[in-house]
Amino acid sequence: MRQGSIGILLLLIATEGVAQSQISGGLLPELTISRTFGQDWKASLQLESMQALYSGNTEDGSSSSYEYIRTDFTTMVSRRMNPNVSVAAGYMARATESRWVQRTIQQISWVQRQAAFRIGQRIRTDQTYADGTNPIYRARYRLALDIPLQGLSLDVGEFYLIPSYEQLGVYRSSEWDGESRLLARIGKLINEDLKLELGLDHRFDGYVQGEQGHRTWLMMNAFLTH
Amino acid sequence: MHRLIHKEYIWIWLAVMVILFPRGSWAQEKVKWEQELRVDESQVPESARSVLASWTAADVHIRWYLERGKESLSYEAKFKEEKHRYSIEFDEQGMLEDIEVELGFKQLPDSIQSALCAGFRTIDKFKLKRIQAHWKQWPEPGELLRGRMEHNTPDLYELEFKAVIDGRLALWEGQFDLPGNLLSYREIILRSTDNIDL
Repeated sequence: MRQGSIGILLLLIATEGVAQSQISGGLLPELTISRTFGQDWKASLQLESMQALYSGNTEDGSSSSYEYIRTDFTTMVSRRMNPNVSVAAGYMARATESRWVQRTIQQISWVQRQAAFRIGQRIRTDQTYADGTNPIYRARYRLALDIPLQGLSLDVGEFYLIPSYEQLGVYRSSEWDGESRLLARIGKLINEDLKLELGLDHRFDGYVQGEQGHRTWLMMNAFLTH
Repeated sequence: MHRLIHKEYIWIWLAVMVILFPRGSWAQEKVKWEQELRVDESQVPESARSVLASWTAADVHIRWYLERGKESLSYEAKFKEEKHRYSIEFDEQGMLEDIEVELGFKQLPDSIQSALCAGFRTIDKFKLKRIQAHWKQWPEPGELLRGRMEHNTPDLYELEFKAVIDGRLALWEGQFDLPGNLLSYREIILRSTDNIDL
């Protein structure tokens, strides 16, 4: 899957000069609060808002500045199946400027510990519904590394780096398309209960159907555990 | 109808978020007394450096770490030589504290393998993850580092394993003596994975 995605990425870069593209970028702040119940159950609330500061079209040269895109209110409940594997299910309500969108989410994730970093993998499926449009079904795989930057393990007050790659398959109105996401985040473990992160999230799609889209977001994440 | 459901969901969601919000977390850094930092070789006491230089081949790449505890400070050298991973700890003055060598299970002497296996069988759903031979002191560490471990019995073995202990399937770190008895154990608490699985 990863090799295929890298191939698609290279193809995309090679054809970027001639293809028509939608380009946009902006802010993507996110706040996640998690609480564990017992030893294996956890509930998480995630608030995420996307706001474009620029968007443009390479073909007709049109562009626009600030645009509110969406705010997501997500609830996830997860259960740890063994020390490394968790399964989770969730529901998201999305407020866009013109309508409400709903999404149901299912995922399995697992973490492998290495001497100097952790490898996190996630398989997620989600289903998105909104009035007046066909449902969207997505299957996603994400590979992330969690690398302490000041030693072999992460201690309070230290920085870490999380590069990640996610490949999405998107099914809508009887057609498949793909989306890829490349992310890099720098974080700091402020204390045992709080992590703050800053990073870039680059997304590109439309390489199977229609025009290409490139979107780059400045991420500002806070993760709180309770 | 949909709008109403969303409205209720958002209000309940926001209320729960306010309730769950851990108020103390934005305060200044809480003090934690354990820290491990990568340090340059020049910051390590001369005695520790020279001892290690005499034990290891010139081309061995040694990474040094400073381990800071509540009332202690130590230096740890980590390196790989002849397929073994070594971790050698020195105190603040550069005096040897202990030696750990990561091994494959099959690299252990047969008698130790059978003794440990007998010990493992007493633990429910035991799955070995990592094994380290542990020496508190060593008369001739140079011998050890040249892979001559078979004549130099360790004080104990430190293992990382997955198992059910006290009714709980978790990752554990335990110390086994040479006859294969589990001397002590503690659960390995994994750091939150929220930011790599959400």
